[in-house]
Amino acid sequence: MKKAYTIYQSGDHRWQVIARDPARPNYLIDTNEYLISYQGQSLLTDPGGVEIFPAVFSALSEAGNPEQIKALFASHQDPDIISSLSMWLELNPTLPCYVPWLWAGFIPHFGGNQETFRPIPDEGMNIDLNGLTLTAVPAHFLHSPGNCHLYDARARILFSGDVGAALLPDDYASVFVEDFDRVIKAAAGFHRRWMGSNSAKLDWCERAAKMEIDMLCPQHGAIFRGEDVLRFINWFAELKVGVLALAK
Amino acid sequence: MQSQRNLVGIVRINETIKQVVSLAFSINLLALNALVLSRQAGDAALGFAVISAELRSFSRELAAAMGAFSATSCELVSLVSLEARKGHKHQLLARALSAYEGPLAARLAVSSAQLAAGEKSLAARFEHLHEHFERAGLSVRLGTIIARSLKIEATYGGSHETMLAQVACEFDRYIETIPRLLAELKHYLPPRALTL
Repeated sequence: MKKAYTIYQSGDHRWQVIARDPARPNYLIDTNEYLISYQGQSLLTDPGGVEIFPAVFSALSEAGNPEQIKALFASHQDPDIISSLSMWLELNPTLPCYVPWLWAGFIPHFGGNQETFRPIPDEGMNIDLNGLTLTAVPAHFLHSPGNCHLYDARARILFSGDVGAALLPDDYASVFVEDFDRVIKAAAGFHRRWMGSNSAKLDWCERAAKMEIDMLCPQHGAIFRGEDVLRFINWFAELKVGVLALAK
Repeated sequence: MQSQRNLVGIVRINETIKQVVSLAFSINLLALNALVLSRQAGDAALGFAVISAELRSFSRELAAAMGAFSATSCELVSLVSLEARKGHKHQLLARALSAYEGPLAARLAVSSAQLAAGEKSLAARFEHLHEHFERAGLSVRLGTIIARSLKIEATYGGSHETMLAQVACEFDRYIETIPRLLAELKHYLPPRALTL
């Protein structure tokens, strides 16, 4: 089963990652869900696919009180990101879900109604979590045409969706990047294929390099921290992605 | 799994209904043709004409009965899909809440109640399907009797006997196919007492 690991704690402000599910069927891609908690309220990022909902919920309830989840955030529209939406709404029918506006008409196919969705404009927006400001940062075309990351300036953590994702082998136990070169090897193919635009990538790298980031938290793979964050941004800036990577 | 079997069954029921409706259409055309032939045969085929007209109204009734059957069956496609989805959600919820004891666990009872209500409504719709099936069966039995009478009437056709007998055999062939199709259809109906 998945487990919750606390990756940041400062008083009543906490980030937890729900990661590493050795029990999952091997035809499902492994995912990381992040629970951001502040003064008794929580927001869950990319809550995952419908089939892994029991594992995510069990891990969350072991680590805390799932009743405190007051909002969901979906970086984009993929099923491994948000197809569990109907299950979360089963537990709390009034739970709001922040989504890039582009997908506000598509994600309801997974569940929800007009009251569920909080569309995020292209330029991003601030999201209030019981007094903590989280910022939805535009990351369009990385990889989805409507894509947002979530930045917590106080914790200096960026939830980066599929940017930084790596398809790690099952024996990679740590939730952090312990060996940059090993993880980057597993990330390269993923980024070349899934990131569609070099100019969008460079724009993101430029913005990310100016942000204060202690941890870069992807939706698959391991968390970059400390110097590895800028190392990753520089590596990504150099990488040819999308159609350029496929060009012979 | 049961609802998945139900869904497959309903799809097959719909396909079989289409075949019966197509046969009813052919019977209607054949009856029209038989009426024209009996007019040509004159007085000797007066009885044949009356029975052909009966077969024509039988075909219309059969098509209408199968239409109502099909409407209920189509409604069931969406209901069964919905129940299958609810069932899957309930299973996931039960797994998620198996080790959880907080207040959210009450949602499982709500989900169980919704599932039970859905199953009840599904059972009622399946009962309708059984009723449609019975009506169609009765109608076909009547059709078989009419077709037999037509064969008898053909023997009074004098010089037109062979031609009228050929038409009567054609009717018989069409109508005899329907009970076989209905038997296939029944195979896909869930048993009455155990509808989900």
